Amino acid sequence: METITGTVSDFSPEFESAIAQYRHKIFIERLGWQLPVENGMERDQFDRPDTLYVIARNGNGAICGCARLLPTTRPYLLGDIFPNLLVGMPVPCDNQTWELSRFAVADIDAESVSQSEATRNTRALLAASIKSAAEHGACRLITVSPLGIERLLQRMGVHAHRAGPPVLVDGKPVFACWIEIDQQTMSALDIDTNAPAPIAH
Amino acid sequence: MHQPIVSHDGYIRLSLRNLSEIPFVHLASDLDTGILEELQMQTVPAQTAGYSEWISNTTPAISLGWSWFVHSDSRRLLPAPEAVRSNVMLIDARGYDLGPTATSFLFTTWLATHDWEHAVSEAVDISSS
Repeated sequence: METITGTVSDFSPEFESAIAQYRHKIFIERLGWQLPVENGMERDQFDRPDTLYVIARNGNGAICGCARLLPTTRPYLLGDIFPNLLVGMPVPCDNQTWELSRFAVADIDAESVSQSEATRNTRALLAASIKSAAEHGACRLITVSPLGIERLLQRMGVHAHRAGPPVLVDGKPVFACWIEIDQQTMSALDIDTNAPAPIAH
Repeated sequence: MHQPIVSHDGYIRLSLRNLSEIPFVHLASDLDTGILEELQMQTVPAQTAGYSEWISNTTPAISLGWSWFVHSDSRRLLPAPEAVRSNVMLIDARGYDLGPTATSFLFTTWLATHDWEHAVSEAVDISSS
C-alpha cells in the first residue's frame, strides 16, 4: 500500500472522482451514513480547494483508503455540524489544530484481508495523515469518531484523548477526540519527520 | 468540592483524591460486538461484551468510558483489560501530570470502588450471547 497527499489541484479530475466514488462505497453503502450524494459519489461542503487529502492505493493502483484534513481556521465538520460534542467548550480555531475526517481503510477489490494486514494498513494511513498535518503546521488533530476509534488509537499507543462525552448520532455514539502530534504519537506510528510525504502527480 | 477546569490542551486536570469526591451519573451502556471480537481475539473468555459511559455533574463535565465483558465461566461482569477512556489527566500531589498511562491505571482503582455493574446490568440484557 502506498499513500499520497494533496489538494484537488494536485489530482486529475478522474482521480478526484475516484476518491468520491470510494467514499460513497465506504461511508454510504457500507456504513450507511446519511450524507448528500450525487451519481454514486460522496462529497460535502468541506471538500474545498484547500482541503488536504491523504489517499492510500493498493498494488494495482486502486484506492484502498482515504483521509481528509481541514484547518480549523476555516469551516470544518466539528465546528459547523457537531459543536455540541464539545459540551459548551470553545470550538478550536487555530493554525496548529487540524481536523481529521472521512478516515477509512478498506480494500474494496480484495476478497479478504487478514486482521494483521488491516491493522498495518490503518497504522500506515494514520501515520501518513498525521505526518501531512504536521508538515502543514499542525500540533494536534481533532476528529469526530465512533467509540471504536478511541480504542483503536489507544491500542496503537497514539496519544489520544476525548474532548467530551459521546453523543448519539443516528443511533450510534460518537465523540470528539484529540490526537496529539507529539513524541508519543510519532513514536507509536514510526513517523519519520525527515522524509517528505509523497505528492500526487 | 474541587471544581474541574479544562486546560488549554483539552484535558481536565485533577488529582485522584479530588476525582473521588465527584459524583458520576450513568450516561449509557450497551452491547458492542466489536469489543467482544477484540476480546476473543486475545482469547479472553468473554461471553458477551460492551461499553459503559459515565459523566460528572460538573461544568465542565468529566467523561469516563470503559469496556466490560461477562466472563464465560464465572458469569461475572468485569471491566475489560484495557485503558479507561476519559478527558482527564490525573496529577500527582505536586500538581504534575501523571501521564496517560498512569492516569488510566489509576482509573482502575477508581472503578473498583464504584458500583457500575448494577447500572450496566439494568441497561443491557447481559444474559444474551
